[in-house]
Amino acid sequence: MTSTREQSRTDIHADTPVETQAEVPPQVTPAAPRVRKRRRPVTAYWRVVGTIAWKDLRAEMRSRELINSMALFTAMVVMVFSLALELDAQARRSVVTGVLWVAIVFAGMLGLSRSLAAEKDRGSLDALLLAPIDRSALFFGKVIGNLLFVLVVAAVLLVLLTIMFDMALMKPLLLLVVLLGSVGFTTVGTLLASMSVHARARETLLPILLLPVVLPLLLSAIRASSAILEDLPTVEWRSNLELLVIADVIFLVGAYALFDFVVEE
Amino acid sequence: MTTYAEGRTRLLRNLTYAAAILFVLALLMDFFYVGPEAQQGEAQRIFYVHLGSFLGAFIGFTAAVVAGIRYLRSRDPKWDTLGLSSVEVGLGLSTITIVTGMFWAKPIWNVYWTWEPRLTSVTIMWLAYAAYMMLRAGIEDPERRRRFAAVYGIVAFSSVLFTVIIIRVRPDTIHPAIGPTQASPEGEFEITPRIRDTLFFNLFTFGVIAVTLIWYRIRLENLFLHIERRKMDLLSQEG
Amino acid sequence: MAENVEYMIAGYVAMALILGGLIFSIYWRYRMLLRDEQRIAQYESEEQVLASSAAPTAPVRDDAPPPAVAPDRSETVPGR
Repeated sequence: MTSTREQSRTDIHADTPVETQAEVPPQVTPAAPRVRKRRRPVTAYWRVVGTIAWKDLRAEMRSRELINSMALFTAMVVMVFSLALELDAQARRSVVTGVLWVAIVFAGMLGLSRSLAAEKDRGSLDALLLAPIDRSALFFGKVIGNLLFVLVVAAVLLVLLTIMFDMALMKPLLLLVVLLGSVGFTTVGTLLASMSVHARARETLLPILLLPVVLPLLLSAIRASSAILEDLPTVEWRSNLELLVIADVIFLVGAYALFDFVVEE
Repeated sequence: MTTYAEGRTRLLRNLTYAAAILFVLALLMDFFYVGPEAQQGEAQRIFYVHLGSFLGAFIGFTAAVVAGIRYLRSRDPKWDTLGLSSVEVGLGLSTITIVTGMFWAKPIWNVYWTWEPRLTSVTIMWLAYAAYMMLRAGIEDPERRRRFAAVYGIVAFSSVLFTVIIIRVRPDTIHPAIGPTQASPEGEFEITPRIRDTLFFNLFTFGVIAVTLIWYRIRLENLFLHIERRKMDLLSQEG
Repeated sequence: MAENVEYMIAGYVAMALILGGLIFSIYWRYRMLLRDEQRIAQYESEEQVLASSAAPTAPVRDDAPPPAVAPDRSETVPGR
């Protein structure tokens, strides 16, 4: 709850230029004098975004429940794949990107539904909504928080797969593909997870809602990663990379426009 | 003098007759107006209903996007009714697209199913709209259900766009297409004037069928909502 | 030319079945709803009968016989 108060305070930054002009000086609220000095609204907006993402991170650093379960889960996904497919060196080569992305997506969904469900159950989402902050700032804050979790999982996975599958995965281009894929995934994921937390069977509904929407993105990410891993020429992966960027932009804009309607109460 | 509702009912009845007649004519054209195609033989005739039903599904899913946007703007439940109805009809028609495609693929590609970009994307599209129905079923509060359904109806349309666009950009698809592609697909055929006539007639027919079905589905939903309201009234009277 | 009439027929049959199923499902649900509506109309009319009969007659019919007679007498006796 302390964090909520912080946000409402930070947000007054955004409104102060208008408020200070409109309101009569003696009736200023106690909090107002502290935020009297003018700030550019853009900075204030991103401060709110940062505060929300930071709140998530801090809560996680305190409890570590999410990141631990996500990391363990990814390790197990890698295990299950290696055992189920009885991979030899050649087979490992051909499935490694599939394993990478499946693990990212499933661990990511685990994290998404936990993060939004915790927000709803503690009632902190309602408190955040009551605060006079821009809804989209709230959205991007959540997206950045979730994105960081997904990226941590991806990093763990890359290390794990490098060691266990004996392959050089740390290529800058591959990291770029992972970043682009994760951005698209968490953007749609955050939007849809904030819907699915209100449903009766929320843990099962999120994958059903999310997978069909991100599968196209996932397919291009897998293709691009495979081509990059095998050192194929640029033509082989370029169109997929472009598709990833286009999908990211569409998802970011679409989710930004639609999030308002999802959280309004 | 007829009332507004009577006028609508008569219009719908005429539309129904038109759809039925068009459907029969389209079938006659499929079977008798066009001859069997030179390479693919009789199985090529599936193509007309395959493409027609996809157009119907496309109309349904597009209507769902329009309805979603209109609902979010106006909060009028009638737009939600349109959204639900058109998604349901679109789901049914896209099922026809998939199943007829399988029966075409077996003789031409020698398999019922192959994990080829177009087939994959159309399956994803189907799953997305099945998820739409799941979402509706999972949320109890009616206002929230309408709102979320509108949002998801818009989001799910990305899978339709993906299906329509992917055939133009992916060089490795074996699915035939009308118009330019980057690939040289298997199972392509030359479009003769008669094939083109039949195709356009089928597209038109399935468009009319889709609209008619959506209209009936809307009536069904309106009756359902009306009855729910009366039930609630009855219960509150007793209570 | 390939010999594949059976697949063409199968495709059209499948199309007819799915389209028919869609139409039938809409028709069937509509019919069930009409049946529901009839039942509701019946309840509503019963409710109305009950309500209209309840207002004037219920107090009389239920607890009227003993007290209605008793106060009647008690009132009429002193009055007489």
